[in-house]
Amino acid sequence: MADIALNPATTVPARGTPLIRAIGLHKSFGATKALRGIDLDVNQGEVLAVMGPSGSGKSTLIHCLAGVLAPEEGQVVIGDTDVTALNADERARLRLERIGFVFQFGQLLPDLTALDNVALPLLMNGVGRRAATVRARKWLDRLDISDQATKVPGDMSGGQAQRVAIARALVTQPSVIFADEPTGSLDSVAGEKVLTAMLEAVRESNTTVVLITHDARTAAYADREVIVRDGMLSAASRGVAA
Amino acid sequence: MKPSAARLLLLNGAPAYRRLAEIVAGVALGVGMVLILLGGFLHMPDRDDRVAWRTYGGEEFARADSEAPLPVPTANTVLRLTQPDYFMGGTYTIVRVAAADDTAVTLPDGLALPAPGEYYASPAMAQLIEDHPSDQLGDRFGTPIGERGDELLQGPSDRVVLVGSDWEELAKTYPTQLEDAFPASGSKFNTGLYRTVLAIGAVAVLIPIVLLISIVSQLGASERRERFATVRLIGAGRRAIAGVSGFEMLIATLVGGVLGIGVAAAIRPAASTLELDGSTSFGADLTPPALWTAGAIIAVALLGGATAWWRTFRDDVGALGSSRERAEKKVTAWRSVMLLVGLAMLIGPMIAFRFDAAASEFYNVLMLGGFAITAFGIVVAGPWLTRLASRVLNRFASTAPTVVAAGRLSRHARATFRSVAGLVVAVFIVSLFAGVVSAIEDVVTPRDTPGRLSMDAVVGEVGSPEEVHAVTAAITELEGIEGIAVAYWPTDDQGLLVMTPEDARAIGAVDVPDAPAVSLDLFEMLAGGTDIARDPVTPPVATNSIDESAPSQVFVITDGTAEAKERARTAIETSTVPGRAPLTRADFAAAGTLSFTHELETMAYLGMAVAIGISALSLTVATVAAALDRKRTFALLRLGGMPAAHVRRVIAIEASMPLGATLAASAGLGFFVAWAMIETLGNDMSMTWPDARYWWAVVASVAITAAAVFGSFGLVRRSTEVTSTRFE
Ligand SMILES: Nc1ncnc2c1ncn2[C@@H]1O[C@H](COP(=O)(O)OP(=O)(O)OP(=O)(O)O)[C@@H](O)[C@H]1O
Ligand SMILES: [Mg+2]
Repeated sequence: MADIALNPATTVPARGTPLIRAIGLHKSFGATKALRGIDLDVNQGEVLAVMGPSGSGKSTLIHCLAGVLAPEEGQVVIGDTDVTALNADERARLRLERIGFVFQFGQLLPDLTALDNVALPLLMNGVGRRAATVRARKWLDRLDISDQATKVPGDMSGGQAQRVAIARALVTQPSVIFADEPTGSLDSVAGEKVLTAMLEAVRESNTTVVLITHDARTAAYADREVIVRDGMLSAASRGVAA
Repeated sequence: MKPSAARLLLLNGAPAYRRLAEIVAGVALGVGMVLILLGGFLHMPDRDDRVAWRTYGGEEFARADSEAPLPVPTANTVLRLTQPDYFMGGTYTIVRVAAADDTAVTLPDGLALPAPGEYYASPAMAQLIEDHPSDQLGDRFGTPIGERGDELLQGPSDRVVLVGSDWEELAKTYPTQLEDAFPASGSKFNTGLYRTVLAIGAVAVLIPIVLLISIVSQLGASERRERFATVRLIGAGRRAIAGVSGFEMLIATLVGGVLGIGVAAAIRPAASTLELDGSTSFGADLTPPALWTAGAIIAVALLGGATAWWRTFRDDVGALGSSRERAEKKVTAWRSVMLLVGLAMLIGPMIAFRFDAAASEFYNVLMLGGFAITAFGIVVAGPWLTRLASRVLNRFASTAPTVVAAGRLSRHARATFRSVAGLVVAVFIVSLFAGVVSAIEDVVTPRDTPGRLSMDAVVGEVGSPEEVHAVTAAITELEGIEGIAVAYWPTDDQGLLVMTPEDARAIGAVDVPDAPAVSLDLFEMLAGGTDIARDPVTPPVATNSIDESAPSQVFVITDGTAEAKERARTAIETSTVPGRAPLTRADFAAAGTLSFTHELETMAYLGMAVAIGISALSLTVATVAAALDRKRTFALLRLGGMPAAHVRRVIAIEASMPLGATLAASAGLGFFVAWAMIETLGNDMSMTWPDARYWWAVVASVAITAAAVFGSFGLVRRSTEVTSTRFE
């Protein structure tokens, strides 16, 4: 995978062209058909909101897009890489170098300090400890949580932990961030603060975001919004058509 | 909720069976050992009783040189003289008896006494006699008339000859005893000491069992976290859950305990070959009675149940499960206090001893206490040491696996250390023993030293010029004999024996003055150490004359081969009246405390072997438990793109680092304490490298760790696939 560089600037297409392209995705779990033919383009630098009822397949969709799950049918291309053609190790590599994740909660390693949690993806990418720590500190600063640097997740508030998670997702400057209800566990005030902090950071670095949310107010922050129903994209999506 | 309902909810599924199978195996192994040790403990007095006939009782009487008349043989009396004798660097017991022809006294096994010139041998002794030329050993005793049974022996390796002697001759010998019966009950002089050691061993085996049970209970709790939480949510109390866990463990340990009887039977043949109080053991001596066996098994089962109950009770999952992983209470430097106190108790006397050697009794007690406290202190300080080491690791970590592992270790130092605690304590004790024994061995193995008795000389007692002639005649025919020297009683009051200067030189004396005769300190030549600087030689002093009618000792000088020494010994024994056995300087040195320390050392190694076995189980279980506990963490790492190989590396570091750090510390401490003890107690001892067994034990513990870690990888791989955990 020599064509994937840590610095996305060299491989990322210009803003407005599709960075992620999904064609005809099908994914089922036993008898449950979670995805039933999804076509979706996500443009470079775009913030895309994914909405839909519970159990409709939103999480499954982003897992397929990110190469966590392999769809039975269809194709996912990120940049010029055909994700569905990669084996498990290559997909791991892709995630490591180009993708960041933010979940509702519990995504930080409980035994590591905030600083180490944020530095970890850099270490995995082969960055030295010292350089990784410096960069991690910078990101904690940017998300306004440098005072949490030496705390472990168990000793932080939910909002603080989410900011650390966002810092960790962003620290490698990935091309895409997949966020699955990142503010779902927070009250509306804290949720909004976390969200604006994240969006500010991604807009600045022109990072693409796929954001799952149940909350229309959150979705309003996005450039575009798609709705998933029964494993398919609904016609009622907002913004630039796919 | 009824306990039966809770049981139904909790006791099913394959992992439960695998987990319980591990407990059954570990407990069976441990109980097998405990039963052997318990058998040894209970039968220790029996061993003593079986040798009472040759060891105790009787009355001493006035000797030939006094005015009192010698005892005369009657139908109700017997004379007995029990003495150690030497052969090829080992010892055996020679028991001489003399009785009237019509004596009514019999041995405890009912057999008649041997007539003069005849002898019985124990099976081990008979074998030894058969295996060697008679001029080296068999000729010492006369005509064999059979073997004596087990009821007169301490154990199968007990080497005893029972020789019939002439009443007149034996009556003249010191320290013959006059008895009217052979006692059937011993004084249990050594019994207490050995029982203490065996009891400590049994308790020491229990410690890793309890650790294993505790770790497996924890594994059970983490495997069933969701189920426990659900059951709690439905309304089961904390006690109900702990009760289920305790009950489950009670049954498992009970099954393991019963299987332990089989394990004991399987290891008993090997265990009975180990020397205890100078002899190997009969199988029956290592078998506790049925009631005791049952009691031990039930006790272990109760201990198991209670341990599991307590662990589950303390690690209560709570009705909300554990969405936030519980962190351990922080371990602090206070944990090292006990260790420091123990060390102070060991080092204090060492310093004090330099100024006031008189109070050494008190120091010994202090040091023994210090030893126990240090051993316990290691267990207490272990988590803190683990945490300290992991912080150092974290500071210098530069790769993701190391950072993850160091973070885990520093926050879960107790749980991590618990899985290796048994092994760490075993290593401490074994290092200590290895250190002390190496030092003692170094002292008691004499080398040819100028001024000391030649290593090639065999020295025996003589009572008359006739005996000297007899010895001289007996050795002329023999192969490998180079000469004979004689020492005589002094003619003045000086007390030291006298010799000709030539003879004195022949037996190894240096700086011998040219004079008609010299007097010299033969005891110092025989017993002195090998380090002349610390333990100087007193040179011989010129005297006037020798009284040839009063010989005291003969020295037969050999070519140094073991065979020649034994021939010389046999010649002296057959040419003189029974007395103290002829010996070499090496024999004299070996008769010290060495065998006991060796036995202790062997037991320490055995204990270590058990600790290694059970620690291997605990370590595997703990590694798997830690991995299961952190299924989510590992899946997160995989999600973030960490290759599977790096996840395995995290697990390997987490399992091996605590062992590495604390093992090195405990081995170091063990040798340090050994050094401290030697400095305090042993006047001319010095530490040397421990023997190969020690290094094998260390290698084995490292190998076992590796096996435990690699063995758990398979399971860990399955449970940490990205797709096995859902992320929301
Ligand atoms: N690992 C799995 N095994 C079995 N079924 C699954 C699995 N993952 C998802 N499903 C099923 O696939 C369907 C889609 O699930 P998914 O998690 O994508 O929904 P979602 O839209 O994210 O819902 P929510 O808003 O509640 O998070 C559901 O019916 C779910 O039960
Ligand atoms: Mg979802």
